[in-house]
Amino acid sequence: MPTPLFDPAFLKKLETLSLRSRRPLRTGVRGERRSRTLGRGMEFADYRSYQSGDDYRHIDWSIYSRLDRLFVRLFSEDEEVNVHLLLDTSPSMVWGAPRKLDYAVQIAAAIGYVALANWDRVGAAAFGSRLQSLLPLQRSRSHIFRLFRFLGALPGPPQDASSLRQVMREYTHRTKRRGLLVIISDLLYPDGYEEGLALARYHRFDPFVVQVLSEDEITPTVRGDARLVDCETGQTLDVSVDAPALEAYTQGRDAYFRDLEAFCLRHEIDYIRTTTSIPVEDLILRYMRLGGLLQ
Amino acid sequence: MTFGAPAALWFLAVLPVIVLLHMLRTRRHDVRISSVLLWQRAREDVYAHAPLRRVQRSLLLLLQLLAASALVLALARPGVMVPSGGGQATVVVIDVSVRMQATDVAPSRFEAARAEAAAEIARGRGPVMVVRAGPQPSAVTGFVSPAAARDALASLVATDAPSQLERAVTFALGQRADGGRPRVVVFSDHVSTLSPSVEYRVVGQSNRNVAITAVRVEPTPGGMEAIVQVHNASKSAERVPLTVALDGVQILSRTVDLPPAMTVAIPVSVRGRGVLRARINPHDALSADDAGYAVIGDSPVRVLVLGERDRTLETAFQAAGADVTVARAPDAALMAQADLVVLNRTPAVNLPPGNYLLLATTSPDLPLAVDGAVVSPHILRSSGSHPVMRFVDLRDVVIGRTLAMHPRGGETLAEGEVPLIWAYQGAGLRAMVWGFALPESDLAVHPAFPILVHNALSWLTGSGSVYEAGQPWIVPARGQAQAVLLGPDGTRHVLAARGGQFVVPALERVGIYTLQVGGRSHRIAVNPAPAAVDITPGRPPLPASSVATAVASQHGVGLAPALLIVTLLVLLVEWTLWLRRLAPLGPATSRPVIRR
Repeated sequence: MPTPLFDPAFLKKLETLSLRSRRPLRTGVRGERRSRTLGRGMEFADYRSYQSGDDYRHIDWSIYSRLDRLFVRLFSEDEEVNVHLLLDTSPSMVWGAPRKLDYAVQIAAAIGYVALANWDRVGAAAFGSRLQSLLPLQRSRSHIFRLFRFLGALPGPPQDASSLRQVMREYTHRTKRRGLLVIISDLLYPDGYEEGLALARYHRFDPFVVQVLSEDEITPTVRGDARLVDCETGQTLDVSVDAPALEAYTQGRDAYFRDLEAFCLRHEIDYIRTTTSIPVEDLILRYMRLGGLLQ
Repeated sequence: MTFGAPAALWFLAVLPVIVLLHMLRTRRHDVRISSVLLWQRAREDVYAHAPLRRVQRSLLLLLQLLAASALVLALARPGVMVPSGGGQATVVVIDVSVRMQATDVAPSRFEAARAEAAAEIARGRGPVMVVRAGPQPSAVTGFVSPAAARDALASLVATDAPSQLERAVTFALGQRADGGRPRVVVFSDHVSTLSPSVEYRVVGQSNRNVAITAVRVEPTPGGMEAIVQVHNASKSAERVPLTVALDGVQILSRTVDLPPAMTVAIPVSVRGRGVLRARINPHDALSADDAGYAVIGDSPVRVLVLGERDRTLETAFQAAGADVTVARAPDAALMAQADLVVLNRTPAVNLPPGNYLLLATTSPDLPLAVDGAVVSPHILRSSGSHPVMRFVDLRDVVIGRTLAMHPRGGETLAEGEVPLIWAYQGAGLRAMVWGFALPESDLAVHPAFPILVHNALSWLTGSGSVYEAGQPWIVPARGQAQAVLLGPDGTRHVLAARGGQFVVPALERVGIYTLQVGGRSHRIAVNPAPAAVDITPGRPPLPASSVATAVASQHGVGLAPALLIVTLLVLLVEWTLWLRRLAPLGPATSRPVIRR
């Protein structure tokens, strides 16, 4: 499978992984993934007391003979998962060395590959201030090529500032199939990230936020008196960067991260923050597995 | 602390400039970043909205101010007085003036100063130079061991003359030992001018002193008259007995009442020749100035006048005590016998070694060119230091015509448009040239004339009979190679002629000196110097910058090198801190953060 994104060995490793979500992903369509939902599957999962209306065929008579009580057998239900890959292509993502957008594309490709390998439905969207392009949900192995082509031909960054709130409002109204919503972005939105993520949760998506930052956003390299220019908004900020200023930046940065983590925890949103200095292979195969996002 | 260049402290004004520069924000360069969101969350003090920012506690600013202050202080060349180290070189200047003979401090000021100097030398371990502050300051030793310095100190005696202490101090300050500046400690009873970095030890308690300050003998129609001047330097009136004797025969005995700080002149008629000795017997601390002397009727000076006769001139020389001989033309035999040859409007002649006064003429043997004459010159300047011009006032003298002299050496004593009176000594000659003759001026009718003739006669022949202690005595050698000098205390010194003259640098004792030259004897009387009569001990108030001079056993140490080193170190620390500030902070985390 020729691809410019990954080498075959990495793709081979990806095929052994599958996505894990913190809650049942109810699509209503039987699939290859063993759902946490108990239902009509073939694999025994548990017992529960018989209730009126239960199918007699699921009563375990052997237990009745021993305990003189009625129990029904429960089975795991196999169902498919809808995976929505939302990729931030705003100007701030076209930053850093390597570019955050390139890094994000690799993450999206890897997650999409894992999902398609597990016969999940995968769709993708690129957004800035608004949705820019959309790849509909599909469930087939051949969809991986369309996904890679989509990721390899992303539209250029918009000229105006990005807005997660506007994008989520647009996407949730356009997409009826709920599922795992993988948002790959730097989350540096002038109007904030809270409303957009809360909107996704409100529409019963299961958000999975991958925050991609560059090293110079973690540790600025600018020194002395400078006029900082926001590449998205054009906003300027006159600063005098010395050690106290860098210390203040560090405190502000850490406070921002703490707020973001607390927000995600409060809204049951999976969150991972990485920098472009971390190899994508390590992020996918090591850290996401350690964090339980992949298994 | 003292400052060698306190004006440099004005550079401290650079400190507020540094603070102002620190407050000023430089022109900013645009830096595009992905987002200002994280910067906006930083503290407000990261921002810079105004051209001036508030001065904050900044170690770099503090170090800059410290470095600038240290540099400015170094430029001001500060110094501190520190206790003397044992190994430092020391120059001991000890005053040997007549005042140091005062006995108000037992046994005398000089002995007390010498004992203190010996103790000072014993305290140190470094080399010591002993400088004798007398009428002619001199180094008694080079930098020698303390023991040798104490031996040299023990050989010193106080003179009867005043001292030139400032010159001695200047001499001491000019010394260097092992490339460094030695400590200078001055032992005296009176300091008129304080020098920085010099330690002064002043001895003495009393100012009570009555002294004979002069004994002058003037010819009168009835014989000779001696004038004895007695000065009371005390702050209270004194009554002292005075006796005057001629060759040991008392000719006057009386009591003199002396108001405070006043001089009384007592005339004494003298008949006969000999050594006149005046003596007072006060109850004061200094006895060395209680006697005065004069030589009366010693062998007269022989003056040979050649050329045009001038009776005014002859009379003036005779009035000055000279034996005058007149001749028309130069005669070698007569010139050899004369103590002074006066050439009055003669043609230019060659001059054998001797003493000459030339009036309106010159000689090829003198470094003097004559280029015509100048009519009605104005007397614009006259020397105030040459002994010939002492008490000579030429301001109202009118000169009709004078030689246009162009000297190539010597010393011009009076000049107008051209030199008018010029003196020269060298090559066996001692000569004085007046560019005009007496008939060409009204000098003869001025009071300055007899004084000028008397001074010229004394200087040219070395025949002055009354000197002050401390003055030099210079006698023309007139071809003699050696002379014998007999001092008042009976000491005998053989003098060698140098430059055609015998030179006694300083007459250090009061009394009668005799110089024996070629079978002839010259006697002079040396009297106490009026300048040394006031024996009040003390020194001027210490200026603020010289407080350290009053601290005993201390010496100045320059702080400028240390401050320069401090400046460099502070700048180095500041540079290091600046580099550290430029160093990037460590990343918040190198590992991804996962929250679920």
